Amino acid sequence: MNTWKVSNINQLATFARDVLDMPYTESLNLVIILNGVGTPARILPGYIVDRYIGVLNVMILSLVFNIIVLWSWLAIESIPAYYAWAVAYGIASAAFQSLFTTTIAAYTTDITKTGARVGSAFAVIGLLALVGGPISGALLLAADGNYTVPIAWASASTCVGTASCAVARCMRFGWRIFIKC
Amino acid sequence: MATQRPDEEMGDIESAAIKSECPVHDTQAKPTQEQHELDESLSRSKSRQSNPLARIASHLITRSIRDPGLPPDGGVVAWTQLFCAWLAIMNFWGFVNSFGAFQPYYESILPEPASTISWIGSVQACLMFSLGIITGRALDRGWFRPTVAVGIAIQLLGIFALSFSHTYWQFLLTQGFCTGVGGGIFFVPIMGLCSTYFSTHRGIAIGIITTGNSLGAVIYPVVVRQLLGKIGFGWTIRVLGFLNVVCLLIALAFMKPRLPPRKAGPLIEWEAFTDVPYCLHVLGICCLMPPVYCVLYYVSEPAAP
Repeated sequence: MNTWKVSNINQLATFARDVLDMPYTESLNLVIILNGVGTPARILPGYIVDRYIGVLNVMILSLVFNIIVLWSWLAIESIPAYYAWAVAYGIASAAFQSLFTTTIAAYTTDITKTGARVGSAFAVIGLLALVGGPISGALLLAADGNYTVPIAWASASTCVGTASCAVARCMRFGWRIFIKC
Repeated sequence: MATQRPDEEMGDIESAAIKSECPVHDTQAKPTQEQHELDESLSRSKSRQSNPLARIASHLITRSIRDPGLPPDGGVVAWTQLFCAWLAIMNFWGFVNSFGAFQPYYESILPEPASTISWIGSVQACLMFSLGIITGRALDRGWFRPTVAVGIAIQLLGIFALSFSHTYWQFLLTQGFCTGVGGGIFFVPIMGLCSTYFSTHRGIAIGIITTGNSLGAVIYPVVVRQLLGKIGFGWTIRVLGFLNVVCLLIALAFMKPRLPPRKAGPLIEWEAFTDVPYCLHVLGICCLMPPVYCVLYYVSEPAAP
């Protein structure tokens, strides 16, 4: 446990190598798998959105799935479990990533303003993307390489974000659960 | 302008304009009646764009587009836009995500620590999102083609300059800033343009485009890992650069704006920030993004061997 190194802010691959003693090339397979399973997971939510329950509802459901998967990272102790976790996270995060642009557009009633609205949102999100990596690196460093801290931070931040999106959805489209939006 | 054939679709205008180029020259020998009809249809669809410069300008910006009505939500034109956007997203995100494959190489050739090197990727991702505030507006103003062309040029300049880089600051300026600025300029207009072609199928359309993100994130790191040891850093980057040249030029050639420009209003839409649910939603995504970057973006940043 004390041999955990802080060589990189690369959470997943570093976690694989440091905590699970996974070789370098194998941890790269994990990366490819994670991106690969994301491909169908980016189309399926879009299909559900168009056919059934609406983009904001699907987004909130996918975020709940994200929260469950992220917290369960703390329980990973073996390599097969880690592969299974990577597949689950690949699906969960790909669903969120494919939906979030559409959700911003969903808050725009005037279609000619879509470009400016999505652009404004991306400007704010971009700044957070810049600090996101260093924050996790700093947390890992401050916690002496204990992965529990950055994992807990990532999970907690996802909980806050999900709550914020859920409240925004209810403020705009009403507090009823079964409404397509 | 708005009074003329308000139901006319953008596709009809473009195809009429394209068709008009050839017949104007071939029809010299044809009966004058046909010539007259052709001219009339031409003048109806192109209004008063008679001189060549104005015609070129009308191809570049979207001033000539009248109210196009509802989104087609399907059909050849809409799916072509989707494919082009997919190519562009695969290229740009593939390049951003393949930074993970560069990280160990930079660590091996540069004296800077790993966290300093990772700023190259962070700066690239930040610029990619942040510049959207300007370029999203450019899409609304009808400057789609010039904006995307400039973005592609800057990105390709950055990639080819990167292939000649040797020091940390050169890598940061070329890969971090230059390709980040270039991608940031064309990313939002391309996504925004594509979403104007879809209404009820918008969710699945955006979903399909973002599969380019996934696929790019698989293809590019594999290309880099396979080629880096064989043909060296410079030519690996140039291979990626040529791949980008082909895909991005296809996107530039076939993507066309659908909505008329919106001239009024400031560059930044401050009104959006007074919309409370919108702000709350964006804040929520701000909390959701860093964890994704922690795991998913840095995931493709393999630990040094």
